[in-house]
This record gives sequence, structure tokens and C-alpha cells, in this order.
Amino acid sequence: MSIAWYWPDWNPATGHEERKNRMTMTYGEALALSGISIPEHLEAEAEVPVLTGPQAQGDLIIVPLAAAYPAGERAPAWPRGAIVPMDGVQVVHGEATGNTHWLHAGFNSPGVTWHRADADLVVGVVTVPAGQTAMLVHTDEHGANGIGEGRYEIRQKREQADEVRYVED
Amino acid sequence: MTPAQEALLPQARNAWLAAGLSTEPADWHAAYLGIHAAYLAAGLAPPRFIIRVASPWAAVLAQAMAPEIITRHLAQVGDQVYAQVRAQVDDQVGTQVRDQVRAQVDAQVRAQVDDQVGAQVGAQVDDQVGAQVDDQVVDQVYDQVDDQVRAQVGAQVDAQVGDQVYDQVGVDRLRNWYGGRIAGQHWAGYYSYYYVMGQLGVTECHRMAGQMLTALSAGWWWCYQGFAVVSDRPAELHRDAQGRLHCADGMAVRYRDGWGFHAWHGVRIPAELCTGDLSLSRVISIGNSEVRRSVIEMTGWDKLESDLGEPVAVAADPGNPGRELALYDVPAGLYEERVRLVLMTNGSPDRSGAERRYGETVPATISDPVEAQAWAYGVPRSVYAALERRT
Repeated sequence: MSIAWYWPDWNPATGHEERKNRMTMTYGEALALSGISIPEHLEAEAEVPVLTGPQAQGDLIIVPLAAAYPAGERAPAWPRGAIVPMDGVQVVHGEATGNTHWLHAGFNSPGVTWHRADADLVVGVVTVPAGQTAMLVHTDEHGANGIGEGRYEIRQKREQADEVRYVED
Repeated sequence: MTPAQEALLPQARNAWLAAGLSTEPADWHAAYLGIHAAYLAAGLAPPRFIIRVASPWAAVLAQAMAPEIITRHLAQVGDQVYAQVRAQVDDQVGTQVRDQVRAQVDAQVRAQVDDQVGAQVGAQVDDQVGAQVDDQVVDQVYDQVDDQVRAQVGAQVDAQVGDQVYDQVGVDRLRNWYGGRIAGQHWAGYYSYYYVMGQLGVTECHRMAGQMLTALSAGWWWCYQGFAVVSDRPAELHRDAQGRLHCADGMAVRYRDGWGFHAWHGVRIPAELCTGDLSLSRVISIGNSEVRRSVIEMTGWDKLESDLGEPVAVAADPGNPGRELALYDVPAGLYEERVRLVLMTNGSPDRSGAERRYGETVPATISDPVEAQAWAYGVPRSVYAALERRT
């Protein structure tokens, strides 16, 4: 992967200096991580909000680990997993739609890790060290969600029909 | 197996998959040659007449009518084949020759594969080890070629086209439509196995060359004494990412005479459910629960919303400003389990700019829309209520 592809507006003169201390990402930068174009409702130059509370992206929810379980119930001791590689990890690939939710590390975020749990609704656990960020990127309309410091479960959605089924967007 | 023999397996798999799923117009000339060769390989005289049609359904009708038409013609010209074909008109069963063309050749070729395959992959060893090598090669060819082609072509396309024909034929009419049938293209999995064995050096496989040529050139065919019927391939074949027949806006399988059918993720859907507006009462009247569920998915809950009456409860959608979650009772009989439905609006418009509304079902014990969403993700209600952002 070339730098130019990874950061499409890369400017060798100023790019590195400008990003050295920057944590936030624009939609243009976030979606370029997965090599996809910007949906019309998003502005390429707008910043992706980086949040530490619960947030949802289509059929996935990002929940701070401590909050994911009812009061009095302990969260499982999930392993930290492995460093998220440059290319990101495919969290969920929708067989029906062909759309994918990708997890990427943000700028200057070499310590972000991902553990795939595949345990009932829990797809996996993302850990973001202090001062770093992660990005959950959808290959279609959902755009990007920025994730700040903390540990989070990424969960998928179920539906009660004649049997319990997973929901896919 | 040698590296060259190993390399053959994915090539054979891909080639037979492509043939099995092909929507190219038939190569009729090659198909006729193949049919002739298939009869000859079975020790039979090639058919005097080959009738070509556009679809398996047309072929079912053609194979039923053909003896009558052919004998009427032959009676006029005083042909000696007359008696042979005539017998089939009198005898409703017809004299299909599939047993010879397919079963008998299959048995002979299979026996030789079992005998020879070990030797062909270079296992010059004692009988016991030889038998193990035979088994390994057979397993490997099944796993890497036959099973994979069969899963996509046989289990999906052939089975579903067959079911559709069967449903249309009905139980009383055209009872014997199935007897002389050879699925050709749709038996790509079966042929791929013998193709590989032939390439590995099992000589007897050449007896299947005619059938293989037909399978590579056209669709289903029927073999009878004196005549054969062969169908074109489909003009359209649509599948989902898992290889199941699926098309959201038209037939999943369509032949060039317009015959075909609709399917939603591998579930065949009657054509009358695919056109015009659907009401909830119409959906409830569908007898098959799998078809019912598929029709709901296909239609989308948003289109059925006006039939639902008043919601049980409405709440603001957390993290999705200006949008609401609405919880509805679902009429009894829609699902076997009692459920309720949450209707919601996507957090982001799709690429066409449309704000998609969709519905998901939850246990009927839930009476709060936020609780329903929390249940779907398996998190406490307070967590979903505190959602900061939905995209």
C-alpha cells in the first residue's frame, strides 16, 4: 500500500508535520482507509466525531465494556487481541449486501488492538490506548464512527422471528 | 498426485462451475454431437430426431407430445422407425433410454475408476496401500471439485428448477416427465468428477464424453428411443453472495422463452407475490412460513406499515436526532412465535439520498421501543438510551 493511497491528500511538504499531533480524522481520510468513496450526505472535510460512549453503526453497536453488562454482572475478561494492521480488520462482512464494517487505527494510534470473540452477539473487542483513536468504517451509507480511549465490545443485532436471527445491513 | 495433476483440480472446478452456471445461448450443433455420442457410448443407435426447445418446461411438454407428432409424420412417409416410436405413444411410460445412457455407463465407468485410479497417480505399490491411495484420490477429487460444483449448481440451480417444473406439472399430469431426463449443464458436479478421473488417465471415462459435451453446450435433455429433446440454457441466472438463487427485481432464473421463476435468497417465490402491492393480510395467507418470511423481507416492513394500525408505543430514537422508534403488534399468524415489530429510520441516508425505514421483530413481551432496540443488541436499556450517535 502506498502512502499516497492511504492518505489521498498527502502533501510531502506539509502532510507529516500537520498530522504529527492530530488525532481526529475527516470523513475523506477515514473512508480512504477502506478505499471507498464518500456518500453524498457526508462532507469529505468534516471531522468524524471521536466518542467514548455507546454508538451504533447500522446493525453494529460499539459499547464501552463496563456498560455492556447489567449492574452487578461482570464483563468477561476479554483478551486484548492483536494490533490492528495498516489494512484494518474486517469486523463484519454482510454476505447479503456485500457491505463490510472495517476497523482501522486512527492517526498516530499504533496501539489499537482487536480481539475477535464471535461469542453470540459479541463480534469482538477493541482496545484504544490513551491518546489514540480507532475508526469503524462502513463501505456504504453509514460512513465512519470515531472511537476514543477505552475498551469496547462491538456487538451485532439479532431479531426474533420464528427463530432468533442475526441482522445484516 | 503429481503437481500437474494437483493443478488440474482447481482448473476443472472452475471450468465446470462456469459451465453449470452459464447463461450463453446453447451451442446446438455441439449438443447434438454430444447426444449422438452419448447414445453410441451406451450401445444404442443415435436418435433420428432431436427436438430443441428454449426451456426445461417447454421440454417437458415437447417430450410428451413428440411421439405422437413424430409417428403421425412417419406413418405418412412409411418410415421403419415408425413402429419403434409408435410404441411409446401406446405405452404412456415411453421407452426412455436413460438407464442405458446414464446409469449403465455410469456403473461401468465407476468400476474402472475404482480399479485404476491408484495406478494412474503413480502408486505402484501393494494392493492394500493401493486401495488407500484410490480412496484418497477419490476423496480429494470429490472435496475439491465435485462437491464444490455440486453445492452451487446441483443443490441450488438444478434442485430449484426441478422443483419449479415439478410444481407446474402437478401430480396427475405428465407423470413421467422425469424418467428420461438428463440435467446436462446442471449435473456439472457429477461430470466434473469423471472429467478429472479421465484427465488422470482412467480410460473408460471417454464413454462419458458425449454427455459431457452436451452438458457443456446446452441445458437439460431427455433421451428416448428414436428421439431426444434438448433445452437451451437459461438467459438469466441471479444468485446472492452465498450462491443461492436470488433476485430483488425480476426472475432469478429466466429462460429465453420467458419461463422461469422468482427467488429470494434461495427461497422460490410465486410470481403473483412479486408484482403489485402486497397487503399484510395477503402475506398472512401464504401457507409456507419460509415463503412468508421471505416475502416480508422482500417487500420491506415500511411498505406494510399502513396495515399495522396504531403503534403500541413510540419513542425518540437515541443518537438519531429527529427520528422515532415505533413498536407495533404483529398480527397473529405471521410468524409461529408471537413477536412485535420495531420500525425505525436509518441513521444515514443511503447513496440514493433516501432515508430507509426498516423493521425488525422482537419478542412480544417487550412493550417499550427503546427496550426493544436494547434487546436486539443484548445491552441494558440504559446503555441504548444513552446512545451518543447512530450512523
